[in-house]
Amino acid sequence: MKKKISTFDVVNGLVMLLITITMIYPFWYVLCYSLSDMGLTGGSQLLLWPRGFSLDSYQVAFSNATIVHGFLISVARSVIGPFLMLVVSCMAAFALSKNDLIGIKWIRRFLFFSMYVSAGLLPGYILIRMLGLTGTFWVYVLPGVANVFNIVLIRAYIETLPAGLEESAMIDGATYATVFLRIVLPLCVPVIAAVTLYACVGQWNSYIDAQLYNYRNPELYPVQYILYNYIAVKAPTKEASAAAHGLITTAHSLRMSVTVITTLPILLVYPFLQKYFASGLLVGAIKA
Amino acid sequence: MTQGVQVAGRRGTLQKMVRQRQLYMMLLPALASVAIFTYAPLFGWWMAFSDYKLGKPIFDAPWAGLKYFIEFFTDTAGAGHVILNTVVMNVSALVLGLVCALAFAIFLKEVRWKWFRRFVQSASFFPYFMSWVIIYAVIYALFSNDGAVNASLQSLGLIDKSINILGNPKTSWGLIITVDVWNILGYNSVMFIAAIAGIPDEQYEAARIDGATRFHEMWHVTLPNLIPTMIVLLILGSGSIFNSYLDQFFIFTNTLNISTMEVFDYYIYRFGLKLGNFSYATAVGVIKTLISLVLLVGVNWLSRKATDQSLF
Repeated sequence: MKKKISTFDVVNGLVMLLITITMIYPFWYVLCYSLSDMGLTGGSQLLLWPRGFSLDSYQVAFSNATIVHGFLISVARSVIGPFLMLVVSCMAAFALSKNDLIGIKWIRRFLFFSMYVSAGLLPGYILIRMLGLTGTFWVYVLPGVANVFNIVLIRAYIETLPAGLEESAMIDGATYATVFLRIVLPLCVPVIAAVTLYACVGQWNSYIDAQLYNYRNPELYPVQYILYNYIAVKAPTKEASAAAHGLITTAHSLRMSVTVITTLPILLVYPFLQKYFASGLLVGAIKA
Repeated sequence: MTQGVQVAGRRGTLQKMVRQRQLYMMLLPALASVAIFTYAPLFGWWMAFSDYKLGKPIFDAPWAGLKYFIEFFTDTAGAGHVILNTVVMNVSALVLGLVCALAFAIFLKEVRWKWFRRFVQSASFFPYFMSWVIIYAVIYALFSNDGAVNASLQSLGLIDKSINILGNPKTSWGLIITVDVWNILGYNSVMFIAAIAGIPDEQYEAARIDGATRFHEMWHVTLPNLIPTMIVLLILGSGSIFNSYLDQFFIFTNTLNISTMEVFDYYIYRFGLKLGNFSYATAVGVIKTLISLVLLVGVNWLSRKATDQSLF
């Protein structure tokens, strides 16, 4: 039974379109501006489409060693961080799914209670200092290595797997480690993918840890922090050197292109992100 | 006799633990990490009760009692504006954010074309996955003094002087609340959309038999089904009414708008790491944590009494 399209459908559709535009347009504007030809006049008015076309500001950005290095630091933390988190969290989740483990009740309490406890910024800062992590790359990845939320999520997934598989392997003399590596881990791919993706985005988007702990170590700045400095502190004044190479850019345009470069990796994984997200795989744990 | 059983029992337990040693090894990294990074810093609360100087051992600091706690509430430069800013921005953003997401989910369900529904939903959480740096960069490009919106309005002759909303004490609250609602819309609506998917079709069929219009369906069927989700999300959110993202406020707070933009987390950062007053800033952090805890337990209790919905 196909109903006629009513006025309500049209108005509702238009409102939804408007909401979509507010979500997308700000980013679209930045993309258009960064691709615009700065040789053409027209100020910074709203754009629907790039004014002219020029990749000059991207060329300037990519020839800037600081930005490229920052990009690499960001990539490194977005790979190493989630990897370590996964190793630690998957092992813990597997062990926690064994209800006959001696002391399981206390171990669970110890872990879950930590989700509701936070000593705060300054005690955390003092601890990081005492551990000698300030001024190192490891300050980005080590503090988040045991993510209890993810452990809960993975454990919930493991518990939905048929118990018979593990039991029969154990009867055949397999150790816990073998069962974990050969049977459980391969079956957990969907939840692992979701958690990993989420962790990668979290790492990619962080910048405050660089401000807090690696302020004096520019060689450890992730690209987000470099972008922050361009916007909030001072824009790079590279116009002169750019002009020497026949490239036309402005501080504003360079900012825009760095913003686009920083957004790009998220854009690439976005289809997967929103798939896992909308499927409720991550949301499910909040209710659980 | 009983003793013998006990010994056998104890030995059995030990044997079992030895058999399960691999499981303990697997738990060890997680337990150690939580102990170090979550529980160990709690000892740092000692700083709030002593005169701590950075670089010296924490427990050597002389006892100061509740001096720093009292200072926060009596020092006129301190508490007032921070509490007000934090609560106004967070409560408004929480309530408005959930109401908008609820309305969005209800109206999205009514969209006829499935591909369009998918597309709108996908777009709606785009800002949520962006870092605060990028969000600020984008807002800056559009709304700063020489940003696109000001430039366009000026060239159309609608305004003479550019309007600065990023460094203006009058616009801080509005700015943050709008940005938060915009940023979180997609994330919040996922929960509502999931709840809508769980509403049995019979409810709609029954409504239609009774002659309900689409507005009736939305109001009398969809909406009541979403109220429990709404309450759970409100409870969850109320526990963090005093918490803000330092990532966000670090970048949105500037010397021009600090009077209306400064929240607890930024205040703690500023006094602790910028001004070096660790003891005072830690005390403020402890106050913030305790209020949050009381709030969460209180709202949870209230909700259990009133609606039978609760977290714990």
